[in-house]
Amino acid sequence: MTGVLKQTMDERADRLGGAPVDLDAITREGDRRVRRRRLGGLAAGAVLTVAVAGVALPQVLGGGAGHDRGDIAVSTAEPVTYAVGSVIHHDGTTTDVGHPVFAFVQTSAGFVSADKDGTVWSTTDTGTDQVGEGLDFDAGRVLVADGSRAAWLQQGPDGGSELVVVDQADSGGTSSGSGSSSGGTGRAPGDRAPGVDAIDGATVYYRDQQGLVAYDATTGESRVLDPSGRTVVEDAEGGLLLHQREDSQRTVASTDISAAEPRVGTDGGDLSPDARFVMSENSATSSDDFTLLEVATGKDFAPAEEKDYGFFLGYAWSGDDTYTAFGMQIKDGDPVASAIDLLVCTASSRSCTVVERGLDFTEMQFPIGEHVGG
Amino acid sequence: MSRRDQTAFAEFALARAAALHRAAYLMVGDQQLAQDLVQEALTKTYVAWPRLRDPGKAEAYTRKAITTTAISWFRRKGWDNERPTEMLPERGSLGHADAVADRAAIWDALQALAPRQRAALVLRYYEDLTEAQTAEAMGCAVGTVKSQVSAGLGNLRRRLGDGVELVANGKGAAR
Repeated sequence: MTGVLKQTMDERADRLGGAPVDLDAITREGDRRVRRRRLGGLAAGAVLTVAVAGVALPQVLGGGAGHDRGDIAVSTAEPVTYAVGSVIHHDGTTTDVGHPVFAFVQTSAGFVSADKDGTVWSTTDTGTDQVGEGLDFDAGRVLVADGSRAAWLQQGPDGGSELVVVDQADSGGTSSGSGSSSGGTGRAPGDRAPGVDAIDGATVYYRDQQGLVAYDATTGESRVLDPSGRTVVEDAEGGLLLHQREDSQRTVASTDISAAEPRVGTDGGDLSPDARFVMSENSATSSDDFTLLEVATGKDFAPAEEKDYGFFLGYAWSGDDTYTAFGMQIKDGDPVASAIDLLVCTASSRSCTVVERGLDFTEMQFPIGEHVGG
Repeated sequence: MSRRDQTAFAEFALARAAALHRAAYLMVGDQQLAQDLVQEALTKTYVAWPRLRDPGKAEAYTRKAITTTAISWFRRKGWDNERPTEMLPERGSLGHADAVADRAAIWDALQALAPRQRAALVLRYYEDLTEAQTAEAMGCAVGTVKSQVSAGLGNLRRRLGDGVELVANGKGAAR
């Protein structure tokens, strides 16, 4: 027997008429949001401590009709970083952080990871310690890193959002400091959710109810860069800001956050540590279109190997000229999520080397500060 | 998103829109708002579509998007829980007058609940989800679901009296 509560809800629901869905509006708005996302750019300056020089034993593969697949070298070394379950694979070694990794970033001194409940953990040579809690994964990117520092916004004791910066090179890697507490709902102007955008050295860029804020972790000082909250810092390296205003649909690389030029040919993106290159999941005009450009000239530096995969994405810089990427293999004409290759690439030579082949994407997390998957 | 994926998403959206609209309506008590909610939830699903990996996860993802977005909208906009409820035309006979009056009172009481309590009751007793599934949809712990359901049923009983058999025996925190 059902209770009267369910009967009431069934009756009310059954009285509703049709449910018109505007698919055109959904895809139009969805595409706009996708262009704003930066799966590949979410590392926000995280510099991997991989040794590309360690790539060894290249082999020549066969197959790959119609492409230059035969030129892809495979290495038995593992100079890439990813997590499966509670284990982070890096530099050919593994580290068990003691909890299933839901999202993580890599610093020069270790890893900062989050579990599914939003608890934040710091892992260094001295072990793994809890350093935060209350992450909101609806914000997309939840962790950013640069050098030995990582930062995130978490729910503060007053219900507002609170910036936390951890320097893993300091005091055994577990020291932390609060940047600000917004109070109230902490909702950013323009109805944007609070979020951490990027970290450049000691400067953390984040958005809360004040708008876009730059916080200096060494002095504890904050500056509001854009009180409207409509500007997002996509990445920052050496003072160069890759930024975008939500109403402009253009990504700009400049030291002045208010500048509207020069525009770059990506939608969002991730700057190389020396800020020479920018790579993004999206070009300025299309989504899921891996793009790697020289910032100053706009010259295309995307690798030839990109064409060998159903989906290819550079996801983290490992040096000024090197980055790590994954490529989704093609089977029967479709990308296969259960079979991806990991590659190390050199931007200037537009070349990549496969270092892991046939991994199951559905089990993996990458050091991009955002959970990958449903 | 490839054209092939867009086709798959469109098939999913069109197939599930009516059911999603019904659940959204029960959570917000307003047809137009429910429609907006479904539109927003499907947009979020569209964005996440390539990364949902398993199309079977799309339903759960969209349900979670509806639930969390509904709660978020109420929180952000500060809507009054006691706002007047929308009147829908009666369709067919509902039985005797007492039953109609009871259910109208129950509907009004349901709409007067706090958003999280209302969402928990809709997911548990209309969608017939388990506590674990409800927790997933609400983005909270199972213990929170238990407390929200218990509080929601308690508030309904305070408004309606103990004589109303709200839920079937053996399911939920009480009758």
